[in-house]
Amino acid sequence: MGGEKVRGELGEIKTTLAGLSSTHGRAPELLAAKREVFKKIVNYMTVGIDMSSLFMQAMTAAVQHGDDIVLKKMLYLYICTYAQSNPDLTLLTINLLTKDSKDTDPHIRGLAIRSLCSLRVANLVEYLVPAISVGLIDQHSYVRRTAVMGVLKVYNIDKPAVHNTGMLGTLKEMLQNDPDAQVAANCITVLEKAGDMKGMIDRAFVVRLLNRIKEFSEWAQCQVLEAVSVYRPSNEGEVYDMMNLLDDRLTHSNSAVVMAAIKLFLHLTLAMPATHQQVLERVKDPMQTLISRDHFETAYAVLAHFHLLAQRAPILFSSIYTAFFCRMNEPTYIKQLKLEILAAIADEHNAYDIATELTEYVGDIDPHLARDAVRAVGRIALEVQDVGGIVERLLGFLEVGKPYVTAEAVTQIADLLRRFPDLAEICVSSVSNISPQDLEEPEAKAAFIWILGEFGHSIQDAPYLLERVAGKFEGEAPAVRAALLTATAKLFFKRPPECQRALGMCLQAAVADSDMLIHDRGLMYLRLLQYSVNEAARVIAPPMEAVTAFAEEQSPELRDRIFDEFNTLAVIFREPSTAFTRRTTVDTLSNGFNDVDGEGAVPAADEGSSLLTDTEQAEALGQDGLTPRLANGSPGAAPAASASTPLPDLLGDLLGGGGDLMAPAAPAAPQPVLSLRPHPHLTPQEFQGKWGALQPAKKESLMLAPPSIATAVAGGLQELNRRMAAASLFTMASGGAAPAFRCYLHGQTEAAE
Amino acid sequence: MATSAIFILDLKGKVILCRDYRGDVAPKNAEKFITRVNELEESGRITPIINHEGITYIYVQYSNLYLVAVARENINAASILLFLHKLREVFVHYFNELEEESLRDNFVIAYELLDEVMDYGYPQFTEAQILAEYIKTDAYKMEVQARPPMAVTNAVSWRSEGIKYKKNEVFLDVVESVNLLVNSNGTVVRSEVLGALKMRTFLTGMPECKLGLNDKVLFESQGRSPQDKKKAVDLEDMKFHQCVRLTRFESDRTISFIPPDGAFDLMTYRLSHNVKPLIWVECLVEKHSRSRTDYLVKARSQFKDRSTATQVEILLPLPPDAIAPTPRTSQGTATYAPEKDAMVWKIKNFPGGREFVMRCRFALPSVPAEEESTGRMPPIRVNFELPYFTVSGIQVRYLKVIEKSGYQALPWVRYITTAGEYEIRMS
Repeated sequence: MGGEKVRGELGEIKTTLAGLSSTHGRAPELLAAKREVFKKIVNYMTVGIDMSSLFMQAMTAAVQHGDDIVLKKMLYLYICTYAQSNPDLTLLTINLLTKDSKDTDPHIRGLAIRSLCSLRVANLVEYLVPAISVGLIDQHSYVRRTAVMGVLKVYNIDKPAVHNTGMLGTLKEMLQNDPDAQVAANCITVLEKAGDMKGMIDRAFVVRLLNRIKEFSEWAQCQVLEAVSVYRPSNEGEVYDMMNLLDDRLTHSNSAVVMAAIKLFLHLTLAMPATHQQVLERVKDPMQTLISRDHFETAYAVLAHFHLLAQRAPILFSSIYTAFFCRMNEPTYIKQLKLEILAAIADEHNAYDIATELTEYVGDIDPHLARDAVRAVGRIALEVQDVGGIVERLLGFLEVGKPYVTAEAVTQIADLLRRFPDLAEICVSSVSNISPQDLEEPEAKAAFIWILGEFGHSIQDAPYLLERVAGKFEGEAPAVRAALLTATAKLFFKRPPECQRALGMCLQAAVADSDMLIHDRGLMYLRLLQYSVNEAARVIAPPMEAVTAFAEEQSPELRDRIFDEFNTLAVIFREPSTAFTRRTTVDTLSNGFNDVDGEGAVPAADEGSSLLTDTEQAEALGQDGLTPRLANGSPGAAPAASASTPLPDLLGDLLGGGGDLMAPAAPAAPQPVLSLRPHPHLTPQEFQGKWGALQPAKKESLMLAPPSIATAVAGGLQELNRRMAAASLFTMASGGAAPAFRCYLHGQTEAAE
Repeated sequence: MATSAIFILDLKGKVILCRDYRGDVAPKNAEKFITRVNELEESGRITPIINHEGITYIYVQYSNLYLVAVARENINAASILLFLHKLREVFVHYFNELEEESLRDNFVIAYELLDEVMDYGYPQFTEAQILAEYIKTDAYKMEVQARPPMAVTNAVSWRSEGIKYKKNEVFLDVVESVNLLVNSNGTVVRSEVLGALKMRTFLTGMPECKLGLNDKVLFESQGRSPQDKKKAVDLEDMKFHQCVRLTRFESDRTISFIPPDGAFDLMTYRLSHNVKPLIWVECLVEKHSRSRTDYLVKARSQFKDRSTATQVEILLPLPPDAIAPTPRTSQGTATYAPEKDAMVWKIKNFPGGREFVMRCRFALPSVPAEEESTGRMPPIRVNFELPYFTVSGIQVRYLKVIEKSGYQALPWVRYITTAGEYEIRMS
């Protein structure tokens, strides 16, 4: 029916157009009638109905009123829409457009050139070049700037055509000499895209451009600042000159200009750590205003940048934490980001206040916000250990009485215990008050079961709680089944008589499980137990080792790559642009399969932290959601096992054909000669004594790239400390100012008393 | 770094307008966009920027429309979001209102505008005044004044030449909006003042304007007496409209400019040091039984006696299942607004240094609802206007208008402080 109606309409329009075309004369009513018909056509076109069959009639009708610019605009829109699908018909319009590009009205000239270049038909390029060439030297700036963009349009259809005609050379000259700022701005756009900009950016060019920056429109200013950001000044004086010249851009009312200036400043000072820090201080205020004044959407984009900077330099933002407290009517996406920022900038001074504010959100009606708040408190508990009351708050959430809050809190507590097993004393009594039946979500349930498995020796009911879940083994989600199997097996070695029944049920169910992973793991446990209980205890329940880094955390290298793409989508999506610009449908579909490979490969490739590889590897493998809790126990076994034990192979089997996955781990198997204590005991006095007494065993000097120094210093050396701590090396004292920083680190061998 | 196309969609995702700049994203993707938006909304993970199947959608919602910019490249997200807002302003300027109806009525002119605001996906100009030069269709509702075209090399891009008014007037409003968050224990968690100098100019020709403020930095540099300095204000993060000569401001703190025609924000600023809350509200909860709860609300004005707050509105949240809330007030009127789950207490005039009380009594059902929400109560929210007053103490010392024809312009200056996000948490 609909199609029929449209066909009827089409016929009607065709007849009307023909009628109007045959009426000669210049009566205003005739023009008005034509405009009406064209409006109709454009309207249908917009909703997606094919209007291309009217091509001839439309052309004829419009050409008769060639001086009416409104009609012309509609005709151009029509032509450009159907040009690609009807190249033959398009050829007919070339004449008209070429003629219009020589019109006396500059506006028509500009429009004609724009439309001509927007036809996107490859074999018409020969007609475009002359029109553009004339347009580039037009008297009127509107025509010139349109023609400049035309060059880029042609460039994207036919690159040689542009190179051969030397148009890029013309643009370079225009960029320097054209009196109109927008023309110059468009030249920058085209030259950047054509890759011809790099050679041009020298001191003289930058100075000239920046001196006239105020002539540019707001958007063009962004363009200019972006173009200049690749320039590397030759000395520090020049950097200061540039920043002084552009300082007022930070107070511009257009937030895009402000952000572009911030990017430029940050990148200019990368090699100057102290100045870089001052820049961060300087941009704090304008950014803060942008988030409290601008539209929510823009604030969101700015907040994403805040988050990136806060990760790089938390201390700089820790004093303005109240700026990230949520308001009631802010949209969830703003609140979400603010919570992440709060968690990132929490330190010993503000953590308590932040956790107090977050506790307010836990009571919010919006479950997403409540969960995010719990997660943020969990993060703070992980990062800021010296402040009392944080862990207690987390435990308090277990009693809020809302299932999703409890679930999130349990997950966070499990993560906390993975890093700080010592906290178990404080945590277990609160955790043991809940029962697995209260937890609906598999992730939370698995986390809870993991806690029971690891710390069951101090939870009285643990075996019976496990047994209750084990009774309904088949009904649980895979993650829960896997966790249950491991937890029961672990607890069995600590409390054999009480756990025997539960383990029996689990093993029986696991061996019959349809999930390969659980099935294989069940079999392995069973055979290990049959082979030797002691040996099984050693493999399945080794002493727990604290996890120092979670695989979900972004590596600083990745963050640096994102920082390079400041002020783009990369910051919003938190991945380098290569990750999302080429992602196609096929990729997204196969992602499910690739995930395991991808995650496994990342830490393996990260040779810089080889001391960590085996742990991280296991962590990463855990990320597929199937083996989360097992992963925790197994790495502890790896260092203990000598090279001759079949453990790696067993693990390979266990992970269901993941033999090649484990391959990168094999080279890591040879033991580091030195094994250090995770928690050394050394007083400053002892340290000082040893420092004076011991001879230097080895001296080494390495050069760091300036950007890395800037990052490290801006972050208050926290990253360095964290990485060193991951290798069981701890900072006794550190200090100094650029360029001489000192860190005194110490470690203690396992053997030392 | 270019935008591929701009879609304007209705809330169901139907395309109302579509301007394709680069031909690499088809309009049919609008459907995918809307499906994705709905999915994300359901999971509570909606953001103004989404990436789906390699295409990035950046959008803002306005009345019953989505303004969507789509791109395949890694574009500058913050700038495109702002661009969409500017585009919205341009539409509003042309159609008075921006909604589906006005857009359909004016879609030819909307296409004209889209054609000029971007070229090949790169933003060009978004100032309505400048665009007026290129737009040939008369807008449905707007009276377009005939303006001579801009000179080719016009140094003042925000103002056309040849503007004429019979009566030359300038209106300057100093507007400060107070954001406040008070915790249930009565501590001020956060307070902030956002200020703006809003201007409306109706001036002939190319007038030079000069504005003098009681700026602290200026007073200090002029070595004024300490008494004067007390009256000076220290503002953070001042931002100026592009017409203000910033170099002039940097060197001698004079604000001089050639203003655009009509309304614009000359300057904005922020004040984040703690200010004493202008209106303090406390709520005491007295739970006598399930059938009787009393909220005792005290509102106190903490500004000088000679000022009077107007349009004071205090929104007191009540439990959703409250039965027959009955208010008693010492001043103003209170009405129950069940759609907001709140008691709305309105006080037309609230002089400084006074305290008013409202008592609100209600019952709860004797049997608690099965799924009784244990969620915390939303905060008490306050609205008010305080004319002839600014929190920062900013003052306009002079506003001079000089035009070469030598006319006398009338400057009008007003001060007002309003409540922004003014929230007081309940225990």
